[in-house]
Parts: sequence; C-alpha cells; structure tokens
Amino acid sequence: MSYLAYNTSAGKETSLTYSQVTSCYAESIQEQRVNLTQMASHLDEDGAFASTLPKDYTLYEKDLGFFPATDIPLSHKSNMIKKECIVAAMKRNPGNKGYICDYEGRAGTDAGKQIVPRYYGKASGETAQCVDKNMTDYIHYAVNSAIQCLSGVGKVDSKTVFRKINNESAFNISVASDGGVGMAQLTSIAVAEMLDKDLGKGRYVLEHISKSSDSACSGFKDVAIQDLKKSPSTSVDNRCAWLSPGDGLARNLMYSIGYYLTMRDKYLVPLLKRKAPNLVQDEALMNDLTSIAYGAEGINHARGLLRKFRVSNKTNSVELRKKIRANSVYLKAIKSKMKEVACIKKGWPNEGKACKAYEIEPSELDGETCVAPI
Amino acid sequence: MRSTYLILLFIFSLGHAKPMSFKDSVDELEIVRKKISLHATIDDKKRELKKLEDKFNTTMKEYEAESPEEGSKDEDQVNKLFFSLEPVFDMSKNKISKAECEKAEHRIRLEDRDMTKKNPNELSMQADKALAMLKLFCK
Repeated sequence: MSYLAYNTSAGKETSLTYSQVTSCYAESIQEQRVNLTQMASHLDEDGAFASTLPKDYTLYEKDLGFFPATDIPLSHKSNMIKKECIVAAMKRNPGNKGYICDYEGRAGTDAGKQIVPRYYGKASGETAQCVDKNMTDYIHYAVNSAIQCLSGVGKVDSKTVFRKINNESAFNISVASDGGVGMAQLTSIAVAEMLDKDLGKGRYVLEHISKSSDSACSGFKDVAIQDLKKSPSTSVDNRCAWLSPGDGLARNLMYSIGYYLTMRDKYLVPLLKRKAPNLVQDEALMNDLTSIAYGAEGINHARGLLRKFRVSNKTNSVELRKKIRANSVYLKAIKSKMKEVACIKKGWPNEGKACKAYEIEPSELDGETCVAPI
Repeated sequence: MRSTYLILLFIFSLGHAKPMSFKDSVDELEIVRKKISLHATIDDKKRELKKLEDKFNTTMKEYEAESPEEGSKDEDQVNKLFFSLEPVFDMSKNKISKAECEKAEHRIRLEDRDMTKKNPNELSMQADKALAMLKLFCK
C-alpha cells in the first residue's frame, strides 16, 4: 500500500521523502491507516468486521462503494457525492490542527477505550492528512452512507453537504479546535440542539435513525441508540468520541447532517412559510439559506437577510439568491474552497497561474459536478 | 386652509415616523431593563417587556416603510437585537419555569452562533443584552 502525498505547492502527487514518511509514521498515521484499512475491509465478505454488516449484505453496492438507502420516500432520494471530488477535497489543506485517536487493544476494535489524543500537526509536508486508497474509499463510504441514511429523515442536498464539509475540514476526520470538532466542525451548542430533548429541536433525527431498518443506517444506528441513552460529552477530554475513525466519524456525520436538516426543516422552513410560502419550494434558495444557517454565519444571519431584502411571496427568488450570495461571507468562503477542488481535479496547483486565472463554473461552485444520481 | 395644512402635515409625519436607530434601540433596551429590574411582580415585568416588544415591532415596520427595497446596515443591527431578544419575548408569554428559562438561553446562544466573528466563542453584544434581560425573569 502506498500513500498519495499531495504537495500543495507543486500541485501534484509526489513521492514521500524519508522525513515525510517518518513524520507520518511518527505521528501514528500508520496506526490510523491500519484502523481505516480494517474498517474499510469490513466491506469484503471475509473481512474482520463482517459481523457488523446488516443482515442483507447483498444490498451493499460494490460499484457505488456504499449502501444506498432502501427505506425512504421517493421524494427524499438523494444524490451521491463522487469519489473524485472527495479525493480532490482531501488534498486541500484545511489549515487546522488535528488529533490522532489511538485505541487500546487490537487497533480499531474498541472505540470506547481511546487513549489520550495528541496533535499530529501537518503530517505530510504541507498536506494535513495522508491520503491513500483505503482512506478515500472509507471516507467516500462513510459520507455517502450518512447521506443515504439521513435521507430517511428528510431530503438531503448532497451538494450542500459536500460544500460544507469541504469548507470546514477538507474531509479530514480529525481536525479539532475551540471552533469546532471533526469533519463537519461540530460545536457543543449544535450537539445540544441535536440531543437535548428539553432544549433543542433536533432529537427527532437520532430517534429516527435509532429505529431505522435501512441498510444505509447500519453504521449509525448503534451510535444513535447509545447517544439517546447517554449524551456524549463535547469536552476536550472526549474529543475522540467525535474524531475517531469508526464511531467518531459516524457520530460527526450523523449529527452534522442532522443539524443541517434541523436548521432547514425546524427553523428556516417555518420562518419562510410565514413570510413567503412560495419560496419554500425553491430548492436552490433553501440550500443557500440552509448553508448560511448551518454554516459559519448562523441562523440569525439567514433571518437577517430575509428581513433585509424584504422577502415576500412577490420576491424574485433568482434575484434574492444573488443578493444573499453577495451578502454572505460564508458563501464567499465556499467559493474559494470549491475553486481549490476544481483546480486539484484538473491537476493544477492552487497557487499556479492556471488556477489563479480560472473562473470557476457555476456548476462547479454549486457542487453540481461533484454529485450524481444513484 | 391652515388647519387642513396642519392635518396633512400631521398625517405625513405619521406615515414617515422615524424608526429607532441601533443606538436608540440599545438605549431603549437599557431603560426598559432598569424599569423591569425595579418591578416586584413577574406580571409587571412581563407588561414592561411587552411594551418593548411592541416598540421593536413598530420600529421594524417603520424601517420597511422608509426603505421598501432593502434594509440599511443600522437596521441589520436592530434586527439582530430583536432576534436575540425574541426568545425572551416568547418565553414571557407563558408561565416562566426553570426549563423554559434554559430553553430560552439555549435558543439565544444557538441563534447567535457566528463562526465568522473574530472570537467565535464570544457572544455578540446583542446576545449579551438578551441574556441580561433573561436573567431578570429567571433568577
């Protein structure tokens, strides 16, 4: 097995130098790789994790690389995120510190016995994560399974999810800071919104998953059941519960996409129904508003924009969308990071002339080129 | 003739009532907060808060009348203050309990979340003001 070491300066994959390899290994990336390899291997019939698979194993689509949802209304059918885009995003530098979550005992077998995490720093030169085939297979599997599973709760816009995760962490499972934890940079207030039955509005998401018999939810159901019984702490001491490959990643994705659904369906939709019920049907507009509410600027900014632009049933949604995009720092940040993905996909260095001169296509910016129907 | 002119002037001035600026809104909020803190009963506190909510609703209508196409930056700040206070307004319409207080505080903090701020862990000034108001009802 070989690592793809992506050099952000050169804009291409290069061979790892001895020091880079040592850096990866010294920071326990090797162990992480082993965990991920084992977890990905459960997809093989003879894999060590075969016992965790749902009963109807034949539902696993080898060509897709994940379990498509089988138990959702037709109107909730969600697109998949293409692997080539996840790989391109993973080659971006998220510019953040991360943690390695090691395990006691046989690697990857007991997520409950995590030992103290430590910074890995920039593990492979300027790249924040080592990217190999098993890792990209696994991330692709986990993210798309989460989208499929949560489609049972509400229609998930895969483009919004891709743009959000690309923006927050570049699909790096282990980045963490005071500003957020893991692939989707979850915050403690968002977790409370999803779990606390007295305070928040998002618990219905976990309750749905805990009862789901959909194959796509097989990696999430146990975590949901466990968390509904006892809320996992979001303290620094418990970061691996949100970062570890396996349960940590499943938890992070489930809460993040669940938070997106909660923001949209429990906050924005009721608000817009009062002001401009016609606009609720406009998926593109709802996606932009949800991106703001679910992203960095938050729900009050989304609400403020609706007031600022005097939104009513007479409002032209195309014009409104242009204004919203021009008035959102977050949506602008998404643009620069989607451009990085577009350049990496084309094989251009982000700092190179070709990339700088390139005007990103609207379909690339929206993430349309990164999703496909199943 | 003179009286007609005065009536027209009066009607015109009503139609173009000036909304509270952000500074005025904050000052008004502080005055109301002090008044509420002096009231002994919860019903009196609620009545005072309702007057503030009405003032905010009026001022937002005035902003819309003044500028029907697009709100100003000052209005954005007033809106944000209103959004932050809304959980307190909503809570005060029902029986106040510890659970309702916690819910209102969570909502203020959740809706104030803005990771684009210099220090994302700090609350905005508007949310701080709303929490200070909440405290007067949730001791």
